[in-house]
Amino acid sequence: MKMKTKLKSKLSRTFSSNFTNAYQKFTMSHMQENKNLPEAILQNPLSKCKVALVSTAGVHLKSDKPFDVDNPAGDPSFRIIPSDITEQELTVTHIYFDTKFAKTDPSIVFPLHQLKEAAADGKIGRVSEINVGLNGGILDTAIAEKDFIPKVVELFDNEGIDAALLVPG
Amino acid sequence: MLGLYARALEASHIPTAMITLFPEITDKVGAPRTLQVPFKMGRPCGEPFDFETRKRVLDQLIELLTLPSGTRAIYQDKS
Repeated sequence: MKMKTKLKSKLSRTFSSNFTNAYQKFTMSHMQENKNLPEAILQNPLSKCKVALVSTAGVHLKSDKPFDVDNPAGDPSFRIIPSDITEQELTVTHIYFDTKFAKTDPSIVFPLHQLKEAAADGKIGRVSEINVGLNGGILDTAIAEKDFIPKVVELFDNEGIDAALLVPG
Repeated sequence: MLGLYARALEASHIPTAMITLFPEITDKVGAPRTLQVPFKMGRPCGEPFDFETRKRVLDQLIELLTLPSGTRAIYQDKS
């Protein structure tokens, strides 16, 4: 991470934690408004569903290329996180929140272990073999919408994923 | 951006349930089903090693999948 990015990260984290309302307003002003709500209905009881996790907290495998946080436009790409990994194989690359907590306990941003427990308890059918890590904090989402979101949707379709749980950073 | 993923998945017949720290933002973008949590940025499922809370968050998020799009749930501290 470049020194400039570190400084940006520090300033942004100070801003968002001390001036949460102003941070919200800033983000709101960049957000597109959608009045309609798409609706999909579960096709099976939860106990038969294959469920995937999606996170924008910058979660990825230590063996993966980290998200490019030096790019001022953000990094809209995604990382696949298989369900059979251990938490020790995960790390977090993000500049808009303090990642030290998530590095200590990744389940605060990526509750894969708890999702496996839910499967073991019969609350869901099973955990998807494929889960997705993203890096949030992208104000211009055009590239994500054109390239990456359709790819993830297609991947989930092909994997026969019945439902997705989405966790922010 | 996460709200856009939620919308695209739902439009492709995959139901979603999403945690939100900033409901005004996720309402504006039109995230279909949200669970508002009282935690800090970077800790959307609670504090490190508080696994009891983590489980409650996840259980409530899973349950949200069965409710209609447009549901705005709020995290309940006691199950």
